[in-house]
Formats: sequence, structure tokens, C-alpha cells
Amino acid sequence: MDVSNWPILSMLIFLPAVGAALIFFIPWRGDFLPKTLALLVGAANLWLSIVLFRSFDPTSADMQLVEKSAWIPELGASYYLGVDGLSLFMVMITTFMVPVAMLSSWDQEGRRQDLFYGFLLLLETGLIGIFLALDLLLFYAFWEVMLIPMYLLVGIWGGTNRRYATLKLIIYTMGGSLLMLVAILALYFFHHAQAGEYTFDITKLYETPVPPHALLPMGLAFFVAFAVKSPLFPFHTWLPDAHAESPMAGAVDITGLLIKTGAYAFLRFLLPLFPEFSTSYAPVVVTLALIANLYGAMLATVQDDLKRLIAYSSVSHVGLVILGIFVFNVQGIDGAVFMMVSIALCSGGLFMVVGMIHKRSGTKEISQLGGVWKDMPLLAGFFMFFTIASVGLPGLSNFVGEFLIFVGAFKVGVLYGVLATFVMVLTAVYLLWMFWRVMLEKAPVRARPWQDLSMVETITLTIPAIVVVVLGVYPKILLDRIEPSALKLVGQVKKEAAQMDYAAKENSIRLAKTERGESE
Amino acid sequence: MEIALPIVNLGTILPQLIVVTFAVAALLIDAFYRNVLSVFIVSFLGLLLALCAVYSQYGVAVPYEESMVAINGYTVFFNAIFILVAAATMFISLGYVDLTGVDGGKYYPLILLATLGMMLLVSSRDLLLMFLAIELLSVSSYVLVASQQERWVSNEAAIKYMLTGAFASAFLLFGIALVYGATGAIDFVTIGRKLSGGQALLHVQVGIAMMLVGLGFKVAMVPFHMWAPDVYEGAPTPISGFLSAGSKVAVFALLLRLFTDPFSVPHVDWVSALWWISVLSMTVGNVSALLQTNVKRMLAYSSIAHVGYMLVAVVVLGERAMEAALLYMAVYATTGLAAFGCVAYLSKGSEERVNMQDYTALAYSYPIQSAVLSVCLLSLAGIPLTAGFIGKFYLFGAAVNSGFIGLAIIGVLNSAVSLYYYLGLLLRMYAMPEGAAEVVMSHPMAGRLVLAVLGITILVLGVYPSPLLGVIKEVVAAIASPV
Repeated sequence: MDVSNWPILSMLIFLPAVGAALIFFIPWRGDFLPKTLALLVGAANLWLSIVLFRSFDPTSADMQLVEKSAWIPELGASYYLGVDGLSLFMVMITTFMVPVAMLSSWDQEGRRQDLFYGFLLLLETGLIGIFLALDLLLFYAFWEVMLIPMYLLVGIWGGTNRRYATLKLIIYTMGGSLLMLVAILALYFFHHAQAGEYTFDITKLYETPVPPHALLPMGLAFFVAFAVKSPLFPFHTWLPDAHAESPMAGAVDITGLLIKTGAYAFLRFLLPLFPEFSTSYAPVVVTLALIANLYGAMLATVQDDLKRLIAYSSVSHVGLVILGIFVFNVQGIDGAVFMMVSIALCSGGLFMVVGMIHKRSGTKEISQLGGVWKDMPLLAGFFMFFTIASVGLPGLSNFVGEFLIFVGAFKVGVLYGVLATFVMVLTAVYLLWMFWRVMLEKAPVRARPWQDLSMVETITLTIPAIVVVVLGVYPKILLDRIEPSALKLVGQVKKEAAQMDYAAKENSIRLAKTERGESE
Repeated sequence: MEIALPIVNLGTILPQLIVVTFAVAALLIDAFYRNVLSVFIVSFLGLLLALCAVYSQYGVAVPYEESMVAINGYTVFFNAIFILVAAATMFISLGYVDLTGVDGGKYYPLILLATLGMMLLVSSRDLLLMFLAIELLSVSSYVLVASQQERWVSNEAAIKYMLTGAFASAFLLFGIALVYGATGAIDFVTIGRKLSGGQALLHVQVGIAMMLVGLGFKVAMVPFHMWAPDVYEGAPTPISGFLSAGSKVAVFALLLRLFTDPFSVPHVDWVSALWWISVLSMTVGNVSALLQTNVKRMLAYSSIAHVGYMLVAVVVLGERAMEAALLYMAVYATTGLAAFGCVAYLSKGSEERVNMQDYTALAYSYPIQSAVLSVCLLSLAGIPLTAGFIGKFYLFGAAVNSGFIGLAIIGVLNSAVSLYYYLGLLLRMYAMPEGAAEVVMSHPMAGRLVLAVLGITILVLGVYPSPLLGVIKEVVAAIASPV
């Protein structure tokens, strides 16, 4: 099949949406057929992303497979898609985890599973759209629209306190991004004032210098929008609620992990659009990231609810990712992208195991569990695997990402590196302690032993486990492709920041001169 | 004594003539045959012909100097919207009228007369015609609100509406008198010329204030909004939609024109007052909507908030703001109408579903209405890929462009607040049903079709707004160039 002429990026975005439309508009009888259809669409999209991977040129740092056409010419918005080393693996992990998530919910009980799968597909459309959009308005559209299926998934099928959790989720994340909308508009008009052209094309907006008086508010608006979604301390409070109330089978949690779109958006938008802002406030951001890293780990230690525990651990990991981004060197950014992929796999695996435990025990509270190993050795094995992967055992994927981030952090400041490495110890503490309490501690009396993993469940867990090992042993597949784009990004940020320094110096010299002139 | 008859070019008022002729004809048919269906058909035919007549006026320009009823892109644009709104309202009322004991024979012609008022309102070139048009619109609306004679809330709403409306009209008239006294003219062009000459007199300012109060009542902006929730709640639901989509937009279109044409010079003195009214309308509307348990009241408060958004355009003014306002009004007319239409079409027999609780799990019994209502809610909340987003985006863009950053920020924060109640209702509709599904009422096909068309329009405008934006740009460029 000749795939070189296909508009593969558009297909990646819209295939799930078409699948969702089929599920919604055909009056299916029963759940099985629509579920199978959804899984097939997810698999087809995975295949498309492999095609994308193969046609991706690892040596280039530029946008590849670009698709561009006018969208709303009156506003200067275009339908502009492209992929580079930063977004390639975000897309791939999305297309990979969505079918896995579907499998993990395969025998979830509850009504109208067909709609559940339809919304999952819509969510995939939104996520891939975010990763591929190179037009600010298009990006913004996907960024906000993606929340609606997320909202409905948690809101319809979620736990008892779901109404509160979903409203918190939506108001936090949308409220954060609405301020960004104002900043986007301001940027758009600044660009017009300077270049005489209305456009949302980010490659053009990268060049737009932002006037100094607007830099702080605009940069802050973007920063907050992304920080809420990442979520970075102190904007993280919605996340544990959303995870705790989401449907049990884990599908939504996994796609929730993909909401690490925030971290990606830092790389794609905040850094290149506002290099001066990013560099001058980097110490603040790094401090927040370190606090998040430590605070997430500490809170995770004391959680009794397994899902909350994993949610806080993901807050902690996100802190690490953002640390990697804001040290502005290739290792840090490589590590951050790698880590995002790895978190989705490892924490995703943990969420799935927790879902499977819940299905049997009806609880996700650690104090109600214990001794699970005896009943379900296979499940316990997978649980162990994903736990130690999350801890960062060498040879598994998390280790590579963490290591790179530490290298990046040490290059910038020894203190950053030391603090971040210290938190690693805590991570090991809370994860292994969790494992011990759930799996090994003396079991409460149970009416009957629980069934070990079924066939589907075993397959569901094996697939991500294999990828975790492969990436841990041979990370070069990812790193080779991330690196050129990371280098380019670092160059962009550093160069512009250097220019700013120069301009600032020039300005201060001129100021000093005029002052002297007046005094003389 | 010789009376000089003015030269009337009937071609310029052809759409209005058609509407009034068919309205009278429909009333006569009702008087002699009492056949509601034929009244409906005649009224609809009138609207259809009027739409053709409006369409034929596209590109024609009859300036204000030459005729009492002007034609330009602005009037054509709005007349088309009003006619479409009226036609959609009629279709939505189709099943509703039979169910709720409304006398259809008077109801449909009254919709036509109210539409005539709106059409004259945007086309009027002087204060007198403007006042007459507003009265025509208002009086028809009072009766329409009262058309469910059996329901006491409907009557109560009508009386409230009429009392406040009459009060507002008095203010408006007094304002008009003051402006006339100061400038000696009633037509917009002369007033504009006189006011641009020298310093604004005190009575002009007082006159503008009074007119603002009067018009503020009619569009329900804060602090003149108290009547709106009661009236929208009490009125027959399609009429609530008609009021929010039609009459509100019409009066607002006039307000926008008053500040661009005759009062463009005194506008400077009013920026801060309008700024506050806009902010208050958004905030009070949204915060009050949060507290509602009645869906119609919630939509009423949300429409107050939307007036606040639209007022952003009046604060900012300029070509971009005009475009934004036109777009926003077109979008709001579609969305508001469709939202109330869905509420009407989700009724249980003759009993309306107005409490939030009644909407639980409705999506599984009434998929079309629920889907359309969801689209409307998303659009009202300003979620991307719906028309509402493009409208808000353009509007706040105009504000940012003119340096009203604070207003834009307050606007988006308000949108964030509004998410709570819009999405709360959305989630309720899609909640899983508990127990057996209720028996599904069948509603007329035609109305459901109209609702579906409105819903699809909202989505299409959100994804591909270019054609509408093109028309709006053309319209605004045409009316902005002579000034």
C-alpha cells in the first residue's frame, strides 16, 4: 500500500471521530458490536501512527508531513498540522494507550458501554489534535473540546462524588485556558501590528517579539493554562478528585494521564513563544516543580485510596517532567518527553491493576486490602512490575527519563539535581510501601478467594509491560528522534533570550547615557 | 391649506408591507374561518415572501436621507435574521400551541406583527418611527406572553411585562423629547450632525440617559433586568425563545446603531457607564443563573449575561466591534431560540419540564432534542467548534484590539463561571437512567426538524464560519464607508 501521499495526520485525528460518530448515530443492539468497532478503530489508528513513525525522518528537526490549508481566512486561522520529534511520541503513546485502555475496560459493568467507548474515541481525537496542531486557534479548539468527552466520561460513569469532581475539573482547566485565550488574542494583534498580517500560525508567531510591558501577563496566562492542565503545584488539586471519581476500569485514568498535554504545551508553545519569560522566570518554575515533586510524593505516602495515591504520584512525576523542561538543555527536554511517554505506560499499568483489584474486591482502599498476592499471583506479578518500573528501576523505561532529567538538572545547578534525586527515595518508599500493604500484609477474612487474571486482562497488561522493557533497554528509538527537535528548541530559547539580554543591556547603556547627559 | 404628501417609494418597504398584509390576512381568516392550520400557512407564506423581498434588497442601498425606512446591509442582515427567527418560532410552536391551549389563530399573526416591529426598528431613520416600532413590538409581545389564558403564570408574566414595558416606554419617550428639544431634529442624520458640531448639551446627555434606561429595560440589561426571568418563565416557551432571540436582538441592533450614528460623539462620555453596565450584566446574569433550579429562569439569566457580552461591542465600537456584534447577535439568536425550543419540545404532555431534576437521563428518551440542547448549551458556554465560541472570540478580540483588556478578562472569567450551570445541565441530561425509562412523548416532526437544523447550523458555524463572516464583513464595510 502506498501511504506516502495520504494526509496521515488528518487521518490520525479524524478516524476516531468518525468511529465515534458511527457509534453514536447507528442504533446498535447491545454493546458488543460498538465496542468491537471502537477497538478496531483504535487499532487502525495505532497502525496509522506506526506508518507515521516509519515515514518520520529522524535526522530532521523541522515540522514534517505538514498539512496546511485555509480554515477561517477572515481571521487568518489555518488548518495547519505537522509533526516533529516532540509530538511524534506523544501521538504514538496516545494511539497505543487508547486501545489498551479499551481492552482494560472490556468487561466493565455498567449501562451504555457503547457511549463510553464513543467518548473515549472522541477524547483520542482531541488529544491527537492537540499534539499535531500548529495553528494557535486550532490548538485552542482541540485543547478545550477535548475536555467535554473527558467531563462526560467521568461525569456519567464515575464514582459517587463525580459531580463535584467533574465540575472542579472543568472549571479549573477551562478557567485556566480562558485567560490564555485573551493572551492569544493579544499576541495575534501584536503580530498584526508588527508584521501587518493576521495569523495564528505558530511558526510565524514565534518570531513576534512581545513588548516588555505585556510579557509578564501574557506569559503568565499561558503558563497558568498549561500548569493547571499538567498539573503543576499549586494548580493540581483537581487531579486527585478526578482520578478518584473516575470509572473504575482504568480506561479514563489512562487517558487522564495523557492529559500531560500541559507539559507538551510548555514545550511547543510557552518556551518558543515567550523565551524571555521562560528564561527569566525559570527559577520560579523550577522551584514549583521541585515542590510538586516533593509534595506529591509526600501526599502519596499517606493516601489510603489507591487511585489517589497513584494520582499524587503522577503529580510528583509531572514535577520532575517540568523540571526537565525548564532547565533548558537537551538532556532535560529529552528526558521530559521520554518521561511523559513512560508515565503513561507505568502509571497507566498501575491504574489498570487497581481497576482489576477493585472489580474483585469492590474497594480501592488500602486498609481494606492485603494479602492479595496469595489469591492472585499473576496480578501481583504485574503490580510488582509496574510498581518497580514507576520507582525507576534501571532497565525499565522510567529510569531513562529520570536519569536524563537528573543529568539536565545537575548541569544547571547541583542543588536542583540533589533535591530531585532525594525525592526518588521517597518515591521508592511510598510505592513499595503501597505494594507491601496491598499484596503482602495479612489479609482480612474473605468469603471466597478472588479469581486471578482472565485472558483478556493478561493480554491487556502484557502489552504495555513489553513496551516498558523495550524502552528501558533500548531508549535510542525515542531519543534519536526527540533529540534534533529538542536541540532546535533549546537553540530557539537560548538565542532569543540572549538577544533579549543584549537588547536589555543596550537599553540600560542608553538609559545610563541619557541620565549622565542630564546630570552634566 | 395644502398638505404635501410625501413621496413614498413602496419598493423600499416591500418586506414590511408583505408582512403586515399577510398578518392582517391571517387575522381575517381566523375571524371568518377559525382554521388554525390555514392561519399558520398564510403567516408562514408571508414570512417566506418577505424573506425573498429582503433577499432582493441585498446590495441595494437607500440612505437615511432619502427615505424614512432605510435599506442597507445592516437592515437586510437583521431583517433576514428576524424573519428566520419568526419562521422557526412558528414551527417550534406548532405542536406546543395545540397542547397548551393557546389560540393559534391570534398567535401566529401576532408573531408576524412583532416581527414587523423588529424590522421597522432596525430600518428606522428617526426617533419617531423608532418609538412606534418599539411599541408595535412590545404590545405584540405582551399579548403573546399572555396567550396561555388558562395558565395564571402566563397572565402574571404578561402583566409584569406590560407594566415594566410601559414604564420603559415612558422613559424612552421622555428621552426622545429631550434630544429633540436640544437638537430640534428627530432624524438620526441631523441629530448626529448637530451633536458633532459643538459641545454636548446637558439635556442631550440626560436624554441619552433616559433613552438608555428605556432601551435597557427592553433588552434586559442590569440593572433593568428584573422583569426578564419572570416573563421568560411565565411566557409560552417558544415565545420566551422568540423574545430572547428576536426582540432582544432587535432592540440591541438599534442600540448599536444609535451609538454609531446619532450619538457617536457623546459616546465618549458614556464609555465608562456602558462598561459598568456590561460588566454588571455579565456578572449578575451568570451568578444568578448559577442559583436557578428552573431551566427557563436559568436561560433567562443566561440571556441577561449574553446581553452583557454584546454590550462589549457597544463599549468598544469601531469596525471590528461592529462585525463582532453582528456575528454575536446572529449566533445568539440561533442559539437562544433553539435552547428554548428544545425546552418546549421536552414537555411531558401539556406539562412543561422546567425543573432541573426533570432533565435527568432525558437523553436516552429524547435523543434529538437532548443533542440539540447540548449543542446549544455548549455554544452558550462558548466551547470551541460551536458558533458561540467564534462569536465570543471575535467579540473579545475586538475588545483586546481596542485596549479594553480588562473587559475581555472579565468576560472570559464570566464564561468560566457560566460553564458550571451549562455543563451541569448537560451532564444531568446524559446521566444514566435509574429504573425504567419513561414513556416517550412524540412531538411534531416539523418542529424537531427545525431544531435539528438549528443545532447543525450552530455546529457548522462553529467549524466553518467563513461564509457568514464574509457576509458580515461586507455589510460592515458597506455601512462604515460613507461615514
